[in-house]
Amino acid sequence: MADNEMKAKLKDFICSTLGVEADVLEYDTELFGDSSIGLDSVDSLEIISYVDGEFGVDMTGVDKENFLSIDTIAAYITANK
Amino acid sequence: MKVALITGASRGIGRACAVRLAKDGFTVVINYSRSEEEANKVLEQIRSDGGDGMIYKADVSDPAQVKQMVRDVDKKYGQIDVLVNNAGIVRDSYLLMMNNDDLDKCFDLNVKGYFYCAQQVGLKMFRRKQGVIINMSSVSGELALAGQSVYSAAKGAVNSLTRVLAKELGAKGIRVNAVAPGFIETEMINALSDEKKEEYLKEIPLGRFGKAEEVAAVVSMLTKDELSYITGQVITMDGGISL
Repeated sequence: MADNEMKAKLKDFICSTLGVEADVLEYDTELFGDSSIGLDSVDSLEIISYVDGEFGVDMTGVDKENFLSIDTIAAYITANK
Repeated sequence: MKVALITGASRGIGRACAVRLAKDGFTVVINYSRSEEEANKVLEQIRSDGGDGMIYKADVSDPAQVKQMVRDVDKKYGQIDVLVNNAGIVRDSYLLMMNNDDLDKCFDLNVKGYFYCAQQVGLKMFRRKQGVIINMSSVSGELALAGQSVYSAAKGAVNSLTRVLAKELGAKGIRVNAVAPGFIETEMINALSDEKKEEYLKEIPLGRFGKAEEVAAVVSMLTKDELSYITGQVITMDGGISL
């Protein structure tokens, strides 16, 4: 799967499931904490579950820096697929 | 089809849970770490009762083996509805005689193994927003028995784990409970001397040891939809010894 296709899927998921507006979410936008997106730890569970089901990559116990943005999540998936 | 994964299911309470849940209609995954012959006997019994399932060898104190087991089961059946965290060991010793190896083994299997299985199975349950996790605890998680500091600490941890996971996973449709049996007629009890058995029996108001099938009946109950408002609880069944 091409990187951009993977990132588009991640963005679709985050917008449709976690209620983020598509026009404020770029691939390098910070997802958690005090960022404009402001996802929380429960949202990270949704992302871990989605990545496992959609891409077959287990992100349980992975360092938080891998969840910084869609770019870093996609990079982790690519490196561990 | 509903699928139940039971760790340490080749003997004792785990075996009884496997047989009971198969009778309830679950396809049962019988996890074992050493006794393949015993695990196969459980599967044979389940099949002779009209049920089905599979055996799976994995040491649940090893996170890599747990991950592989859960992935393989999920791939084969497409879902895991119930996890019974049961695999465990007892390493009784007075504090000053306790050795580090026994301490590590007890916590690796009785505590960390429960975490590993809950994490991996929880991941699959999370996707479907439903599931039941049942942790096998012990009356020793609350009751202080001299010589059981390691086992008691491990089971106390299991009780805490149960409550926290129930809170974390409840909103995602996953219920987490524990069963805390007292003295149950298993190999461990059978190995005791008659004098020791008598000593324990005097402490039990019901005047007898429990049966593994009675523990399995509680586990069965906790899987049922009609009791789906119960989560985060430690259900004690000990003949009254903790009163």
